[in-house]
Amino acid sequence: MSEPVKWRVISVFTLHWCSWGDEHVVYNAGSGDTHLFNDFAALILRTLQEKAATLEELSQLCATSFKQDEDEELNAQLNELLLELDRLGVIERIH
Amino acid sequence: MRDDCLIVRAFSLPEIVASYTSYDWDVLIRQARRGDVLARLYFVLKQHQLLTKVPEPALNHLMSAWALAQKHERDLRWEVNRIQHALNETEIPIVLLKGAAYLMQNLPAAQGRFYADIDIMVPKESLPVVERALLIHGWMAVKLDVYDQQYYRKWMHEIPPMRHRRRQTVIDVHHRILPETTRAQPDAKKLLDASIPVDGYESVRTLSPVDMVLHSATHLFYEGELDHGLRDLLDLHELFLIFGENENFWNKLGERARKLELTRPLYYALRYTKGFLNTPIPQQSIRQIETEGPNWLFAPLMDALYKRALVPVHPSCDLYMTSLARWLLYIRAHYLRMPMYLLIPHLMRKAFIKEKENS
Amino acid sequence: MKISDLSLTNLKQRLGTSGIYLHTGPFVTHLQSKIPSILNNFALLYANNTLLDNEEFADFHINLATPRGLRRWYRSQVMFHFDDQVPFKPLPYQQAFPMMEWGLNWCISNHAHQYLILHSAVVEKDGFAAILPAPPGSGKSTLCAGLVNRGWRLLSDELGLISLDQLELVPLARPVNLKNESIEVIKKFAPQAIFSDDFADTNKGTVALMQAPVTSVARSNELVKPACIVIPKYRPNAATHLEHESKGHMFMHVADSAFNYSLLGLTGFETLVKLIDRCDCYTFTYSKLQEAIETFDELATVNNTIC
Repeated sequence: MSEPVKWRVISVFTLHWCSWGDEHVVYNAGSGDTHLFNDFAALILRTLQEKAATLEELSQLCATSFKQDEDEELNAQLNELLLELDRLGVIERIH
Repeated sequence: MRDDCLIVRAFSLPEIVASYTSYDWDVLIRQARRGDVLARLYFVLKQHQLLTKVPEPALNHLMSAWALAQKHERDLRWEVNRIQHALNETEIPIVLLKGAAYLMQNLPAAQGRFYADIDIMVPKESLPVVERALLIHGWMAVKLDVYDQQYYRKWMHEIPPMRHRRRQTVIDVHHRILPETTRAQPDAKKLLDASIPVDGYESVRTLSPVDMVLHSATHLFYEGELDHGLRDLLDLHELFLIFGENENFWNKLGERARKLELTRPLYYALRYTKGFLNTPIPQQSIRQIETEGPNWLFAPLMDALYKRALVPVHPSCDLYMTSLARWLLYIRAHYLRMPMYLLIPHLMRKAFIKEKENS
Repeated sequence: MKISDLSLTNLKQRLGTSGIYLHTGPFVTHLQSKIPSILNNFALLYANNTLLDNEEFADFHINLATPRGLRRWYRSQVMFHFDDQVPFKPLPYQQAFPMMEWGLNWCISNHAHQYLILHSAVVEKDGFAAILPAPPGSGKSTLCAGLVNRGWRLLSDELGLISLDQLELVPLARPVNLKNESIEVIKKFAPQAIFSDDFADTNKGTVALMQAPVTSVARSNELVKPACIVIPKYRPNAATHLEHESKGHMFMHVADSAFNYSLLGLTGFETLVKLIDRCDCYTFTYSKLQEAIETFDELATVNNTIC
C-alpha cells in the first residue's frame, strides 16, 4: 500500500498572521495573496506550519478540537479545504 | 558617450547627483521613468549611500518605483516556484533566461527591475512535454491571429507564449535563444550543457555567467525596439562588474563568443558599456574584440545609431536624428532575424546591400 | 499667491504656454492646457489653491490637449498627456475638465506608493477622522459632499492616502466628483457650494465637480490619524442604520478597495493590520442625507468624549 499523502505549509515562503477573535487574516509572502480564514482553516494551517500531516491526522485533530465526529463528512470537508489551500499555493504535498 | 544625458551620467557616476538642482531632478525622474530604470536608480543611489542627497519630492518617486519593483520581484519568485511546481514531474531541466535568471541567482542586475514575461529554454525535443504540463497546470496559449501563429511557430521560438488562466502571467518557452532564421545561430545544446543550477530548485537552472552575458548582449544588439536599451545596457554593466571580478571570466568570455559565433554582439557590449557607463573592462579584452567590430565604413554609423538609441525614449534625451536612428536599428533587427525576401524590398534594397557586404 | 489672484487672461496665458505649478495636497502638479473649458472650470474650482512661483520640480506634468489631425475638428476629442505619454484613450472634447480630475487621480494612484492608497473618501471633524471605503454607486461621494458642507473637513472624496510609517491620513482637498442625481441633491443641500459645469454622457453618466471648501484647502497640510472606517451604502428609502463590522471582514473589504495593497506586499499587510487595529469598524446604510450627517456628528462627539 502506498504512503498516504502528507501536507505541509509551503516551505520556501513565510505566512504572516493577524487574528481578531475567530477571524484570521493570513498574508502569503510567496503568492502575495491575503486570505481570511475561520477557526477551522486556521487550525489546519497552524498545524501544517509546525509539521507535515496526513488527512487522517488532521481529521483526528479537528474532531478533538471542535468536538465533532471523525466521520465521512468531516473528511470530505477537510479534503476540500486541503485541495483549495494547495490550489492557492498556501500548502504543498510532500513525497 | 552621452554625458549630456542626466540619467546616463547618474548611472556612470552616481556621486554627481549631489550637485543636481531641483530642475535636474525633475528631468532625471522623468527620464528614468521612461527608461524603466527609476527603481534601479534608487538601488544604485542606496548602494552608494547617496539617498540623503536626494531632495524629498524626488526621493518619493524613487521609493514609489522601488515598491513596484519589489512587487515584481515577489511575483517573479512566485512564478518560478509555480513553474517548477508544474514541470517537476517531467524532470526536464529548465533554463531561466534574462531577468528571471538574474533574480534567481541573486545578482545585482536583478535589483530594481521590472519583469514582464518569463523566458525559459528547454531542449527542443522536450517542447511538447513541457507544453502539455503547462496546459495541465492552468496555462493556455495566448490567442494569436493566423499570421502571428505562423510567425511564432515558423520564424521565432516555435511555441507561442502561454498565459496562466488565473495569475495572467506569461511564459515564453524557447529551445534556442535566437529565432530560427537568424544568421548567427549559437548552439543551444552547448548552452544547456554549460548551464548552472539555482539554489533550492531541483530542475531550475540558468545559463553560465559567460553565456548569460553573451545572451544579454545578443538580445540587446539584435533587438529592434530599444525602449529598454539603457536598462539592458545596465544589465550588462552589472554582469561585467560581478563576473569580472574573476580573472578567468574575461578569457572565457572571448573564447566562448568565438565558439558560439557571437563576437559582434560582444564587441558592442564591451564598447557601449564602457562608453556610456565607464564599465571597467580590461584593456586586453577590448583589444582582442576590436577586430570583430563592423568595418571602418560602418563603425561610425553604428556608434551614431546606438548613441541615440541606448537612452530612454524621452524628448530630453533626444539628439538630432534620434527618430531616424531608432528606425534604422529597428529595420536592422528585422533584417538580422528574417530572410531578406520577407522584407519589403524597396525599403531594404540600399540598406541591405551595404549591410550584407560589411556586417 | 492664490489662483484667484490671477486674472483670467493671465491664467489663460500661463496655462497655454509654460503652464502653472500648484499644490494638490502633498504633490506639485504642473498643468498646461489651451482648452477653454479647462481654464474656466479650473479658475473656478481651484480658486483657493496656492499657485507656486519659480517652482522647478513637479511630481506630475500634465497637459490636456486636442489630438492632431481630423479628431481636432470633427467629433473633437481631448487627450490627457502625462509627461510625454498618453496613458488613456481620448475622451469627447466636452469632458476635458473631468478628464483632468480623473487623470490626476490616476497619476497619484499609480505613482505614489510611498502611501497606502485606498479607494475611499476621507473626512475629519474635531480630530475625529473617518475613512469611507466604497465602490462607485455606494453613495460615498454624496455623503462626503454632504458632510463637508456641514462642518467636516474634506481630505478627499476618492483617494485615501495613508502614510506607511506614522499611519497618518494625508489630505488632497481637491474638488468632489458627483454624479447624476447627487448633483441636484447636493446643490439643494448646500446652495452656497460652488460647482463646475455639468458634463453629460460620460461613462459615469452626468458628472459635476464641487469646489473643495476653502477651509479644507487651507488645512491641506494637516495630517490626522484615522479613528474609524465606515462602509457607506446608500439604499433608497432605507432607515439610517450604523452597525459594527467585524475586523476580519473589514480588513478584506479595505484590502480589496485599495489601489496598491497588493503592490505593497508585506508592508501593505502590516500597515493595514495597524489601521484595522486602530479603527472602529462599521457598515452604514442610509437614504436621508441629513440623518446620515447627524449619525457621523454623533460618532465624532462620542469618540471625542471618550478620548
